[in-house]
Order: sequence, then structure tokens, then C-alpha cells
Amino acid sequence: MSAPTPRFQPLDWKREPPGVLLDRIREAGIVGMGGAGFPSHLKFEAALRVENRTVVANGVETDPGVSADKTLLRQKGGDVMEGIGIAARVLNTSTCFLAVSEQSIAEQLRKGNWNDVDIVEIENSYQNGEERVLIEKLTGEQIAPDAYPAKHGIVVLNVATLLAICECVRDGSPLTKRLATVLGYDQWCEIGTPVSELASSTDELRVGSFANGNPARDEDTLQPIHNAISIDQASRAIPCIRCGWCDSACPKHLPVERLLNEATRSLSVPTSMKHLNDCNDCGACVVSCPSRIPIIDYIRASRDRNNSLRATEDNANAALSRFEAKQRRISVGNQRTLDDRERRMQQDHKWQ
Amino acid sequence: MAVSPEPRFQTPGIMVRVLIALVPGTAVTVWAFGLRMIPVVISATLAAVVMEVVCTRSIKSIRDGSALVTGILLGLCMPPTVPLWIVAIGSCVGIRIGKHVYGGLGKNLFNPAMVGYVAILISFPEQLTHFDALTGATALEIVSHRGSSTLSELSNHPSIGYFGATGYEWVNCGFFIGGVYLVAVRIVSWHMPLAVLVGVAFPAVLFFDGGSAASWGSPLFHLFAGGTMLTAFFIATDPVTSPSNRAQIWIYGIFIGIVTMMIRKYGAWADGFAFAVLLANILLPFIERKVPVAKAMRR
Repeated sequence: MSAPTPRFQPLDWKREPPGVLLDRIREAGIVGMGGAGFPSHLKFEAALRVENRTVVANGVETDPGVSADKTLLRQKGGDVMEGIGIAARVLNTSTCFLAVSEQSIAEQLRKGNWNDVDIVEIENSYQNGEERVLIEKLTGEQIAPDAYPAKHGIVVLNVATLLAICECVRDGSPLTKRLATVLGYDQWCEIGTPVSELASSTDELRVGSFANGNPARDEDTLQPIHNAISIDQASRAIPCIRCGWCDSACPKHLPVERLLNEATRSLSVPTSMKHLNDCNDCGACVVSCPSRIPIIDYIRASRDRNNSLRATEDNANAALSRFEAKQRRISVGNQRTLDDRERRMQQDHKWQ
Repeated sequence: MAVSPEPRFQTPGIMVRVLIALVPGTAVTVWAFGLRMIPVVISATLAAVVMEVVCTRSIKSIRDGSALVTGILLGLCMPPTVPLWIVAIGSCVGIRIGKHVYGGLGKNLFNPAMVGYVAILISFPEQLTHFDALTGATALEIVSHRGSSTLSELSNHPSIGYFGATGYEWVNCGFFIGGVYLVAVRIVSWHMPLAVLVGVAFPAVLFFDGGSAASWGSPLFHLFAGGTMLTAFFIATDPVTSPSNRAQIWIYGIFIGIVTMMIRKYGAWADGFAFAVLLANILLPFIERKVPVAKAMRR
């Protein structure tokens, strides 16, 4: 496979002004490769409005069965470190963290004399890869669930994103491939390859990890946000035995078992809507489920259904209020006509 | 490298661990009540598994192990003298009417083992009670119907053991050890067994006055008599028919314990855990609707 041809002018990031680097990141269209796909330059721009800024490189990969980020750190740890350097220069800060979940990776990277980056080992527990949890572990700062860390000056970037930043700035090469765990094996995949071409299995596939990915459809291609292609467990699921382990596992303390029960029976219960919208799709319930039920699919489906029901209801209410307003206008108009006629009748009587 | 990552436990894994936990209790049961317990347990298990296959029309459905556990639990509730065909009927009723009528695994309202047990307990009372090979009556009945004698006068009775009922005290110890294993491997949270035991101990302590003619039998006796430990660790903790939230678990467990004690004292049956569990199963939807979901439990 030939190396991607550089589309941008390579930049010497240690000399170029931060604004140029940020423009490059914006031009290259770098998005978060951890799963959300949030445009990275927006994070930088939000953080630049705040005084104290921090760069957090998220190498804590806790999706079960996914090892793409770990392999990436082993293969291209130096490039990731340069990416952190670029991010730090854009933000004009010296507070940089790299969080990893494996000791060997931390030791390997510490040998590289990246003195300005604080390499921290984080326990390999499922929630620790979530950015707010990670920030609390690293800095002790608590970010509200509905607030963006970037607005607090903390830019959390996945290590794959940082590699992409480094390559687009230093080499000028656009993002054309990413490391993904395909059925357990880490391989560099061209972005846009159909999933069916990357992996073939008799089982159904999931794009993303088995915990929080989506069932693969025929037309799905590998996108920058996909860190894995896994086997779909849905066909192997057995009935829910109401053990309640999903409730215990949920980091947001949602009544997962009840939500699943309502979803499987296609019930829509008003009180559950808030819970459904609170769910951050982390997939911890799927990991804990002893019956291998793809709980997150049910939650997403019932959230979509509830939201579309709510939209229909809102439309109906809007139409009703328009109708009532019109009726009011008409009745006021009628009254006005009657009043007018009354007045004219009285006027008519004057000349008699 | 894991191609298909596995959860911490899977439902068959849970059932295997339950079976491991049942080993000490079963061994002591066989030791205490004789080798006849082996065919009793085996016929209960076999009937349950066969009925499961018949109901689901699929041999694969037994792989989750739930029918196996149901059958063994039912067999362990049986007296050693019971005819095997009665046990088989109990298993079939438990699996069919207790489970598959409601839609199979995970959808049943009642504990299948207890449905089967109660069905044959009511249908064949003669064969299922009055069985004790030594005395013709169980210790619970003796304590309950002892007339005007005090507990200390009863202590020489062959049915009364060191601290529980003869035989049953060691059987209960066996189930206690297995139950502690289940809690240790975190299949079962400790709340439920403790709630049931508190429910049994509370009325026992409340009405125990040192052993006069009117008292109930010592709390220790009740904790180690009949099916107390089996209920607390293995039957009340059935995930399908029990709540999974802390406050609800306490209510459910204590309810089972207290009702068991009420039946032991005032009821027509010697031991009432099966009825208590079924009553609690009936109460469960009410509990789940009315008791607020507190912060989720950590195991």
C-alpha cells in the first residue's frame, strides 16, 4: 500500500504560531476518534476562551475486546506525544496528561523523555475511559454531566485523534486510515472501507465495540469514530433473568432493568423518558449482562421512539394552539362585525 | 486475544456456581436423611429437565441450567420417604405451571421449585409430612404442638439436636456454607439472605422468653430448623422472582422470614417457607411499584 500523498504543506510545529496550527487542524477536519466524532478545533476554540488550560490525552481504552488504542500507543507512541505537544502549543499551556490503562505502555513511553507530559496509569475499569471520570481522576476537578470539559479549559482528546493531529500538522497528510480492532485483531483500515469487506463472519457484526457499538448494516463503512468491528452478541442472547446487575453497573444509577423491560414490551412510560435521555450510551450494562442482551440497542430504540412520539405530540399541540388562536380571531372578528352592525343600526336610526 | 469478549458471568455460569454452592448442603442432606435422598433429588432433576425440553420443544434450552437448579432445589425440599413419582409430578408442575405458562425463563411470577413443592404438598400431605424416620414427626411440629411442656423438657427428645432440629441443623449448616460461597463470588448480594434470616430471627427473639410452655422455640433453633438456610440463600435469591433493589430486597426478605415464622407457629404446616416465598412473589409487583428505587446497589 502506498503512503498517502501529502495534501497540506508540512509544518514545523515548534516554530509556527499556534494560530496556524489551529487553522491546520480545522482545515484537515480532525474529529474525535474515540467515538463521539466531535470536531477537535471546536474543543480548542472553546478552551482558548478560558484562562487555565489543560490537555488530556485519553489512552484509557476499556471497551472489552478492543485494543486499537493500546496498539497505537505501542506503535506510534512518539507521534502521539508530538500530537500532545501540538495541542499544548495551540492552547499555550504546559499542563499535559497522558492517561493509559497499561503499565507496560506507560513504562515504554516514559523512556522517551517526554518530560513535559505527565504519563498517568489509570485503573482498567470500564468507566475510567469516560472523559469526566478521567478528568476527576487526573485533576480532581468535577465536571457536571451536562457541561463540556472544553468550556472549563480541559481539552480531552483520544490518542488516535492526537496521532491524526500530529500527522496532518507535521507531515501534512490527511486522515485516510485508522487503527481498528477487527474481530480481535488490530489492523490499519482505510476509512470508508465497507464493513463487510473488512470483516467476514457467519455471525452478525457490530460497528464499534460490542458494548456500545451499533449493529452493522449493509451500507456501513468504517468511519474515523469506529475503533472496532466486533461480533454482535444479540443472536446469542438468552432471556433476561432480572438479576439486576445492569442496575448495579450503570454509572448513572438508572433503572436499566426496568427500562429494558419496558423496551421489550414496547411500553412508553412518561417517567422513563428522563432516564432514557440521561443515559450516555456507555454500554456498561451490556458488559455486565450475564444473558448477553444488547441492552443498549433496546434503550436507543425506545429513546428514539419516545423522542419521535414527543415530537409528534409537540406538533399536534402546536397545531391545536394555532387552531384555537384562529378560532379566537374568528370569534373576535364575528363579535366585531356584530358590534359594527349594531352601531350602524343605531346610526341608521338617527336620521328617522 | 479475545475475539468475542465475555461478560463477568453468564447465566449458565451463574447456574454452575449455584450448583457448586449446593454441594455441601446436598451432601449433608444425604448423610443425615439417608441414601434415599439421592434417587429423590435425581428424579426431581430429571423430571424438571425433561419437562423443560418438552415445554420449549428444544434440547438447547436446558443449557442455561435453570431447570436443573429448579429440580435440585425441589428434590432437596423433599422428605426421604416420598414416592419418586410424586417428586416427578412436583417437578413437572413446577416447570410447566410455575414457569412456562408465564412464558419461560425470566417471565415467571412464582419460584418454579416452590410452585411444584406446594402443589404436591397440598395434594399429597400424607406422603410429604410425618416422615421423620426416627420419630414420625419433625422437630418443628414437636416444638409447635408440644402442649404444656417447656423447651428444656423437650431437649431430650430425639428430634431436638444440639442447637436445631436433629439432622436439619447440619443440613442448614451445609446450605449456610454453600450460601456464603455464593455471596463470596458475588452471585448473590448479602442483603437478601440476611433479610430473610432477620425476618426469621426477629419474631423468634421477640417471642422467646427462655423456654416456657408458651414460647416459640429459641431463635437459634428456628434459624437451623426446617428449610431456613435453603430458603434464605437459594430460594429467596432466585433472581427472576426477587427484587434487585436494596430497599425492596429488605422488605421482600423480611416478609418471607416473618411469614415463615407465622406459619411455623400458627399455620397448619410444620414449615412454611414455601408458602412464604409464594406470598412474597405475589407481593413483588406491588413492592416494585410502591417502594422507590433508591440509588442502585453496589456488589
